[in-house]
Amino acid sequence: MNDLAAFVDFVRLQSGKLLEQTLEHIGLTIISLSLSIVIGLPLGLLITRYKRGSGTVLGIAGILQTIPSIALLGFLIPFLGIGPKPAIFALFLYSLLPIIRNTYTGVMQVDPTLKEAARGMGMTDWQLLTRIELPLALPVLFAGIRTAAVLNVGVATLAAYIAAGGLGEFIFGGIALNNTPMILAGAIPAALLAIAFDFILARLQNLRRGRLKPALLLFCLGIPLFSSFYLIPNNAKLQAGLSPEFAGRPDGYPGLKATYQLDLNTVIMAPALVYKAVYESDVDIIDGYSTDGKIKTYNLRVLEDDKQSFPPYHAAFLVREPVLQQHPELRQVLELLSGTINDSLMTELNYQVDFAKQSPADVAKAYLKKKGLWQASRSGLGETIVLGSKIFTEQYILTEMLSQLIKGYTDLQVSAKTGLGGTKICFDALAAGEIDIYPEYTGTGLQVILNTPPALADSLSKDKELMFKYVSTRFQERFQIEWLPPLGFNNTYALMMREQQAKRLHITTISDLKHYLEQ
Amino acid sequence: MIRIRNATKTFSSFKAVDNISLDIKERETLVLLGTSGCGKTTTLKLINRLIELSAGSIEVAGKNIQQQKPEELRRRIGYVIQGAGLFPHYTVKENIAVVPRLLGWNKSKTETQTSRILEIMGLSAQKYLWKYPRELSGGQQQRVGLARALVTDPPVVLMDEPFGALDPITRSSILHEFRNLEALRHKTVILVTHDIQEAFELGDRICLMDKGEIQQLGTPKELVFQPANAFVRRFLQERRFQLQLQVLQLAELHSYLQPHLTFTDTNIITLPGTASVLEATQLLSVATYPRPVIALEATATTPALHLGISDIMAAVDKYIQTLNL
Repeated sequence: MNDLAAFVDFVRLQSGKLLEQTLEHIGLTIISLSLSIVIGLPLGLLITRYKRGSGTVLGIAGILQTIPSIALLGFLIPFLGIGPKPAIFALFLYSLLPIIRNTYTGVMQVDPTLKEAARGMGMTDWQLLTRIELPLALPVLFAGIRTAAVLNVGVATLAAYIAAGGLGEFIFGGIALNNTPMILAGAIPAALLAIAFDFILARLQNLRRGRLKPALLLFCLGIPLFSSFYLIPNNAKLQAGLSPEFAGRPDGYPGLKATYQLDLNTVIMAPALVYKAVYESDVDIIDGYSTDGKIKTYNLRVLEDDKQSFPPYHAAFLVREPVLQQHPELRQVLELLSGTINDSLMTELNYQVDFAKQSPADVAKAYLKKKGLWQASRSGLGETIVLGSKIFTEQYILTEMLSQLIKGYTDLQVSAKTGLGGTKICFDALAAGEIDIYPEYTGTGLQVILNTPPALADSLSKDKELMFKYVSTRFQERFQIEWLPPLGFNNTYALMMREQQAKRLHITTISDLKHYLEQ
Repeated sequence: MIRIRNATKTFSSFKAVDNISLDIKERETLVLLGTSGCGKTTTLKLINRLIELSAGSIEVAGKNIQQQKPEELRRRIGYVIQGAGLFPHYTVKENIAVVPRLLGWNKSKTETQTSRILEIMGLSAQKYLWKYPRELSGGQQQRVGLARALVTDPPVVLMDEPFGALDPITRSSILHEFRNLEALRHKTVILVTHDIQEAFELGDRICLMDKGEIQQLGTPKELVFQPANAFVRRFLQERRFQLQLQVLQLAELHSYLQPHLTFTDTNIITLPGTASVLEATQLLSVATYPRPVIALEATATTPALHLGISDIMAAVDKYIQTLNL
């Protein structure tokens, strides 16, 4: 019941946004569907006349439909940029198959004796098509259009991933923020839209022949209307493309707005696509993580958070206290890395694994050697220490470094359970004693594991020392788990721009960005 | 009316129709008869160019069909197919009006002719014009199919197994009506069937085909009494006796009939000389008492006669004996 009340509240507060998204959603669906009908229907008819082409055409349309939607959108960015254009094009490709296939099947299943009767009475091929084949194929043909429409309403939610708006903004924002009312505010209208489209098309199908023409006319007039609101000119100085989570989290963009009085012109995009979009100059500012290897790949500049709006996410190893008590020699080894890795160094290491395709072990070894920390493995036969890591590059590298250090400096053995799904899985494994050590971030500890109330979390975020002290005290009390001294880098949210553009506009900090925008 | 000269149709290496020449006279009903795959349907479709000739030529009403647009040729030729082939999304009225519409008739002419032809086919226009094919019985559908082919009064009508999909009872009643249909009497009809009975009942002439070739072209009587080859004989073997009775007219037996006592107190049925012997024997074999007797009408050259079944059978026997000599 609470959820329901929260949902109603959300819808009431966001009704304007909801209406806008719904209209965008309808627009995306109708425009792409119309395109598919305009292209797919004649194509389907064509292959009933040139049957040799039917295998090829249906095959290609089938293959198009198997391309994962997010991958397809990614492919399209270099050609069509971001926004409604690639979204409509992708939706168009997805709905081609049902329309072509059902047109073809519908016409082919018309009784051949009827076709012969029609030709025998003197109908031309065109008359046969328009008077006999199409009317008789109509139920199957319409089933195809209805399938395509329902499919499009569903897939159109993904348009939110490339800044084309639609109800996907609420859905993906809600998922990123774990906000159920927000998810529902997107999902329920989307489901209703699918039902409505299906219903209206079913009604259209049953219209008597005489009334079909006005209905079609209305439809044709409606399309430009829906297309029009994609044509509103956008002449902002800089365009920001934000991931839904960053756009919605209080410590993300809303926090930034409050701290800097920054007002960006934003569109919402998939986290996986923002880097590509900024690289292709479709947007100028994106959000990301400050140690991501992609920063180097795409030659981006991380804007300095000069007013500390983003909460600190300092990385440090979490260790179970009993392990340290049993093996006091470990502490010294574990602290070897403390304070040695800064942001850009971590970015570089991530880059070497993600894009230079080196193994985390090699990258770790090379780094340790450079720092003079590396020692050959003693191949000791002591007890086994179990290391854990979450499922991303940075954690693999850190775990690997630690593993090599322990083997080099102690007689303990090491085994690794890498690629544990997420924070909760990793931490539960540690608390249960299934693993002994894994790298964690202070911000995550504060927010996700301790569930600190927002007000307290906010005030703690301002001071990284204070925050570390708070987190480590609490962990010790509650879980008998110790935070080792931080490694040095801060993997937190960051705003980024293309290096070249940032240089040209003399922007290095977020305050600079604000000044530039206000000029 | 229709001249077919050296018509050949080859499907890849298979000769469906092999060098056929055939003349179809005006107002004649010609039946193309044969087993399936004999080339009879292919021959029919060559005439309205649903199938194109591989070699040879066909003229309809003096004009070479290859020199006309196929659609225009077809609009001038009525076409009836098995199971009627009515368009399920059209009403009876729309179905019948297909060709008038293609010919660009005005609305009132189309409507008058549609209703007229439907009534001729024995269906009330008021009741049936607005019905859809699925609401009609098989026999009614076939009537509408015929109406659709005849509404523009084309001089030539092609029929492809028109009664093939009907049950035997409906079929025999439609056949009977069909034979007496005034609207067809002045038309050149080419009808394809595999049914011997139907061919003999409807055909002025029968063209018996096998393996793409004409085996015999002639009147029903010629096929029965003067089979051209072993195939024709074998093809008609099973029904030979019935067909003999069917193709013979009572008048032809006249010289073989014995003058007979005149019955006075019996059940007398009067028949004209043109009635078939089969019809007479069927009437006589009805098991009633007193047994009926056929009264054959007198003509200018022959006196009236009263006949019992044994008289007729004896005369038939003599007739056949004479032929065989």
